Amino acid sequence: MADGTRKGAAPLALTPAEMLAEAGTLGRRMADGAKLFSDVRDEDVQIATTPKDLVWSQDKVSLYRYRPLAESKGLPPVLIVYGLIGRYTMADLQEDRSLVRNLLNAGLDLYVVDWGNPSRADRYVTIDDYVDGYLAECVAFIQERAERDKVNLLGICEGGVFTTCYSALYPETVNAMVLTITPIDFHADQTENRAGHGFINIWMRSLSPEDVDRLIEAQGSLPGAFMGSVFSMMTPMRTMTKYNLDLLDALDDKKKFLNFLRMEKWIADRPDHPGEAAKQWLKDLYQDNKLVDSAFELGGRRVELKNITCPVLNVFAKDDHIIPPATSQALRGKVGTGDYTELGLPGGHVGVFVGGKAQKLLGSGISDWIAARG
Amino acid sequence: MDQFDAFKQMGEFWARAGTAFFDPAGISRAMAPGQAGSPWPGLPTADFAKLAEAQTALAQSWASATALSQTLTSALRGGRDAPDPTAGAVLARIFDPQAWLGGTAEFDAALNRMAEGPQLADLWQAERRYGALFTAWTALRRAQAGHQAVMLDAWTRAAGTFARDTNERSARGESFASAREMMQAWIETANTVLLEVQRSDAFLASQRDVLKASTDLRLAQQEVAAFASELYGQPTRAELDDVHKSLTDLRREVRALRRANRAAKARANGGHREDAHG
Repeated sequence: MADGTRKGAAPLALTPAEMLAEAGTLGRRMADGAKLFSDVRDEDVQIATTPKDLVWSQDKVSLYRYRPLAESKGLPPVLIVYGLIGRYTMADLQEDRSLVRNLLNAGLDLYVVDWGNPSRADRYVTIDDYVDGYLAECVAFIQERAERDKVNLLGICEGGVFTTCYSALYPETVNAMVLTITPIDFHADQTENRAGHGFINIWMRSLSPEDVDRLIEAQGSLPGAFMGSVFSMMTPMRTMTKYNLDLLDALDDKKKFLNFLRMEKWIADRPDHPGEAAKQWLKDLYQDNKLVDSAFELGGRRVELKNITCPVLNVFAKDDHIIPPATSQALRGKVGTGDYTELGLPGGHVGVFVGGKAQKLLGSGISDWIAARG
Repeated sequence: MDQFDAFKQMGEFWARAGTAFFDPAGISRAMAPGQAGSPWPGLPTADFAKLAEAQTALAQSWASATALSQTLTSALRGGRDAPDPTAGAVLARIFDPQAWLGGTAEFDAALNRMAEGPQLADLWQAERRYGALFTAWTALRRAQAGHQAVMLDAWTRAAGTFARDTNERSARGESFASAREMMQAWIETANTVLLEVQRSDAFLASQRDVLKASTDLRLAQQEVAAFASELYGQPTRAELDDVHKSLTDLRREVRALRRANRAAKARANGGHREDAHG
């Protein structure tokens, strides 16, 4: 057992007067913060504000088309596909940190699919329904509207798995595919084994398939709040200090403070993941790792990665603790195209989309790559 | 009575009260003559002993952690005669092991929110189901106590490491330049230990136990709710699930028909685009 400090220097080299000054500074910052809180209005923390129009919907799924912000480059439309854990609004968090705006400013014709808010009533909806059903319907709509045989797909995280599966099942409809922070080999977290990285992979492997089945039987879904708590566990001290130390730091600067609140808004909007789709996600992919082995089945068909013949840009975050880079990079050599490019960006899972430097590199990296494959 | 004693005694109280309540003799005392006999078939009374055991282990960890926390806080603020009570209070908060339980409490709370459904008042007739529900509840509390014991052991390890590092720094004649710098050192130490712990078999096993127990509790609650629903002529969860399954199947069929229709039109028009989805 520790016995505190012994002789030598005092652990904290502050005189009583300095300590009082520190306490005084803290008090001032808290007072400033209270004023900031009272001044903030709802419209200050709006997210996903880039103008768009609802162009198609089915059940709880909506397809939006963004209004152009620049002259069209005449390229095939791009469909952004987010996953069921979190929402696409991360790609359009705020005006100066928006992948959506960066792509629109590059003259791309941009669509996004919103999976809505699945409830217990959607317990039996599967990944087959999302990929072979809703996503295929969205692509068909865009093909018809744009009078194009092929579209570009931009998948994010679980949405990247959806676009990977779709591109393997319907290669003739995909011009090019961009994957961002997308897991392909769900066991490749063990390649680097970095502390604090890949906890979900480790945690899922510690559960049995029956644990997952019973969880879904009991809940009907993989509740969004539950996944939120798992993400919090992955950054334990950050979670403990977030609403005191981090927030205190953000209070110095109104812009920083509003960024903090917008991010909190996105984090709080975490839909429930439909139960049967969650079982596939957790058991077939996280536990049995079927995707990288081309053993995952949708709609009675195997998802053969070598059937992906379109050009592929695989973007990963070098410091992604949720989707470790090796789990994404595992796609190299598995697809049926020689036009395969990897882009490793600085930052973490979310930082790559909203971090000051990374999000600019992400936008230009994607738009330049797509433009070269128009 | 300190926190540790209160916790331990509460555990013992629950164990005593629970065992007595489910003891056939206790039940027969509670019921009217002629109704004696066990209306709690298959209820494992050993659960309470295990719960008390888990809570005792947790209480011991808690006592160690609390003592270490107080020592650390006192030493770092310069002993009892410290001139600044504010700094002392801040330090006490920073080194409070409760925060570590709080760190997992979000996960636990999420599980609890998932597990704890509506309060049902009129279930006194459903003894067997209610008994199973109570058993599931004690199992969840036991699993949570086991998990918290793992977390407290981790906190004790982190605090010990921090104290050692601070002592070494002090022996070298070095100090923290500010409270914030010291806090940062603690955060880094704690983070390293926590991330290691999360990969340990003990953490994963106790976390899995909590997940399983919360799931079992939720299912036991649904059994009670289903009984009440049938009793009062309301649709049960299983019936609703059946309806939702049928609805999902019907939506699939509609989608397939629409797609087939679109492909047929495309063929009729001599186009090929929609065939890709046919």
